[in-house]
Amino acid sequence: MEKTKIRVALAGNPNVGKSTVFNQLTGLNQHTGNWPGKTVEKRVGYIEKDNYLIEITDLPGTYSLTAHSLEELIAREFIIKEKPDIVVLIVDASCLERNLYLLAQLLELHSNIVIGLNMIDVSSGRGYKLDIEKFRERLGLPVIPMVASKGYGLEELVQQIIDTYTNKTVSIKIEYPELEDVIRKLESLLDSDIEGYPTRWTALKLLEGDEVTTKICKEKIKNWESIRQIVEGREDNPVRVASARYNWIKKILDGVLEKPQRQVISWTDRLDDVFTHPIWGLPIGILIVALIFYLTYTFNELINEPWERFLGFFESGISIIFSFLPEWWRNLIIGGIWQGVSTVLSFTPLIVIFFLFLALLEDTGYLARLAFVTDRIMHLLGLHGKSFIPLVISFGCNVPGVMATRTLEDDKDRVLLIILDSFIPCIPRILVASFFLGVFFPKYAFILLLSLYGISLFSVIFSGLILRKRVFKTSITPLLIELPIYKLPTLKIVLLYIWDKLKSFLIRAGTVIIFLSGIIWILSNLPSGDISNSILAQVGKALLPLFSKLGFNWQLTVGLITGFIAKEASLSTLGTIYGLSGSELGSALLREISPITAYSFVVFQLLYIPCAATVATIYKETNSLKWTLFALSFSLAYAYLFTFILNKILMFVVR
Amino acid sequence: MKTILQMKKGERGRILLIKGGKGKVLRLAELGITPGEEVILAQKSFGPVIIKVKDTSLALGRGLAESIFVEEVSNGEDQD
Repeated sequence: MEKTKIRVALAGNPNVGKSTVFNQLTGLNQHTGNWPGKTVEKRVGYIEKDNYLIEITDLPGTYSLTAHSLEELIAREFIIKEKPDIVVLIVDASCLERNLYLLAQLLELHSNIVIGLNMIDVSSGRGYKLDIEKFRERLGLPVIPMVASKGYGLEELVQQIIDTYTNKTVSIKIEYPELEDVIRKLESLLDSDIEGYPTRWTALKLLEGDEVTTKICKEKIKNWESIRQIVEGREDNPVRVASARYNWIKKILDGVLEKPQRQVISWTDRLDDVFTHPIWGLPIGILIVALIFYLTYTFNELINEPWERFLGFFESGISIIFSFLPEWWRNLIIGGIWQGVSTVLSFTPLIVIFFLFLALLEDTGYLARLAFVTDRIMHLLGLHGKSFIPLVISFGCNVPGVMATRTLEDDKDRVLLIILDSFIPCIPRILVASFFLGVFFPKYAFILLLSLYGISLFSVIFSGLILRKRVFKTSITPLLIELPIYKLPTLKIVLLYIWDKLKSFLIRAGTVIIFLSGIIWILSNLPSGDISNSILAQVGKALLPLFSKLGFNWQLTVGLITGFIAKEASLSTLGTIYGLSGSELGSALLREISPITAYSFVVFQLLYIPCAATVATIYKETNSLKWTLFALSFSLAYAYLFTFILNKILMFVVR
Repeated sequence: MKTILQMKKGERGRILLIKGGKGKVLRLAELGITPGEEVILAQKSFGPVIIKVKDTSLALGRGLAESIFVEEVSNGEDQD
C-alpha cells in the first residue's frame, strides 16, 4: 500500500539541539545537498511509521526570520513556497524567552506547528519550574518535552507529527496591543497577500525594516508612498516590533515558568571562568589546537603504514583484474586514475582523525569559546573571532576550511577569509616539505619546518592587512556569537559529523583529483611514453625562463604543475621524471639542485596556489568567477614575489 | 549611564538604549538585547566581552559593547 507522505520542516535557533533531533530521528537515512542556487547546506531525512512516510527538511538554524542572512531568507521562503504540512519548532527549555521569539514569527506564517521542548534536563538543573500543561494551554499548540541527546521524547514527537497531520490545529493569531493600530492601517493599504506572504506578516516585516520585503512592496504596491510614511514615521519601529513580541512572550510565560531567586552556578559558568579567562583563555585555546595537531599526526603515523599496505594490496588486485586490457590502457588506469584514487584515499585517515577532534570541540560547545578568545588577534588579519575556526580546519585540508567560512555573515569577510585560507599549509604540503627538508637539511629539518609555519602565518597576516586596506574597504564586522552550554559529546552526533565532512571531501576532492590525474597521466605519456619529452615536460620547459629566476630547473617546474592537482603529486611526478623514488630520489635531487633552491621550492609550493579541489570549492562557495580568479592570481603573484625575494636574500647571505 | 564595556565583571545593569542603525538594533533585539532588559557582564577581556541576557551567554565585540548603554541595578546582589 502506498504510504501517506507528511512533509515536515524542522525549525529552531542555533544551539538548541535541532541537528541532534534531526540526526536522532533520521540517522543515516538522510541526504545533503544545497538549497537551489545557494551555498547553504540543505538536509532532508526520512522516517517511516505506521502508514506514513515522514519527510523532514532541516531548515537552517536561525534566531529570527528577518532577511538579515541567507539562512533566514531560506527558512522563511521554504515555509511559504514549499508549504510543509507541519513545522516542528525545537526550543531550548533553558532559555525559553528568546526561543519563543522565533515562534511568534512562525505563527504569522504557518498554522500547524508542533513544539519540541528540548533540554528540559538543563532547565530543571538550573532550578527552573516549568508547568508544561499550562504552557500548552496558553499557546494552544502541542508541546513535547524532550532530551534529544538521550533519545527522550523522540517517539512522542513523531506520534505528535502524525496526530497533528490527521487533526489539523486551528490557526492562532497573536495580538500585539501596542501595534494593532498601525498594523491595521498597513494591512488595509496592502489589501492582498504579497508573493504568498500573509498581509499581517508583510505589515510587521515592513515595520521591522526587512530589506527584502521592503523592496518587493516598493515594486508591487501602487500606494507605496503612504505605506512608506507610516513605516518610516517612527525611527524606533523595528525595536517596537521586537519589544511587542517579547511582551507577548512574557504574558505566555507568566505563571508558566518560575525561576529561582538566586541563579545556580552551573558547570558552564565554572568552565567558562577558565576557558574564557582574559589572560589564560588564549594560551589554553592555542594549546588545545596544538594538541589536536599533535594527536592527529601521531595517530596518522600509527595508521599510515597498514593503510598504505592495504592500498598497495588493492593496487595489485586492480592490475590483475585489468590484465586483459592493452598495456597503454592498463597504465592509464593504474598510473593515472588509480593514482588519483589512492591519493584521495591516503588522506582519508588523516581527515577522519582531524574531524573527529573538531566534532568533539563543536559538540562540547568549546568551539564558540575559541571564537571569543581569538577575536582580538584575528583583528590583526582584518577579521573577527569566528574566522579562526575555518583557518584551523584549513591546516587539515583547505577544502573543508573554505566550506567552513559559511558561518561568516558578511560576504566580503567571507571572500577575504577564503583567500587567507589558501595560505594555510595543509597536510599534503607539509608532507612534500618534510621530504625535501629531510633530504637537504637532515639536522635542521624540524626547525625549518617550523619556519614554514612562520612564513605561512606571516603571509596570512600580511595579506589580511593588504587586502582589507586595498580590496575589501569595509571595516571589520564586530563579533556577535552565542556561547552554548558545555555538554558531553554524543557518539552518534560525532560520527555523523565526521561522515558528513568525509563524504563532502571524497566527493569534492575525489572527482577533481581523479579526473585531473587521468589528464596529467596522458599529458606525461604523449607523444612517446617517455616523460622527459612529453607534452607536460614541454610545458615545464616553456615556463622555465620564469621559474629559473627562482633557481628551479624544468623538472621542479613540472612538479609544480602537477602539484596543482594535489600538492603531494609534485613528489610522485619528480619520481617519475628521475625514474627513482624514496631515498634514491633524494640523492638524485641532492646532486641536481642546491640547498637554497630546495628551500625556495618548498616555500613556493607552500604558498603558490591552492590545489585544484580547493579552487573548485572556492568557485562553488563564492559563486563568482571573478573572486576565484582573484584568489588564484593573488596567491600565485604573492608566492612568486615572496620566493623571489627570499631566494635573493638567501643567496646574498650564503655568499 | 554607561556602556557595557565600562561595566565591571559580575555587575548587573538594565539596558537603556542601543546606538546604531535599524538593522543592527533589530539584530541585537532578536538575540534578546532590548531596552529594559537586565544584563550581567560575565567576562571581560582585552578583546570582546561576554554578557548574559535572557538566559543566554553572548560574546560581543568591543564595538558592539560600546554602543549599548545601561543603568546600574542595585538589588543587593551586586558584587565586584
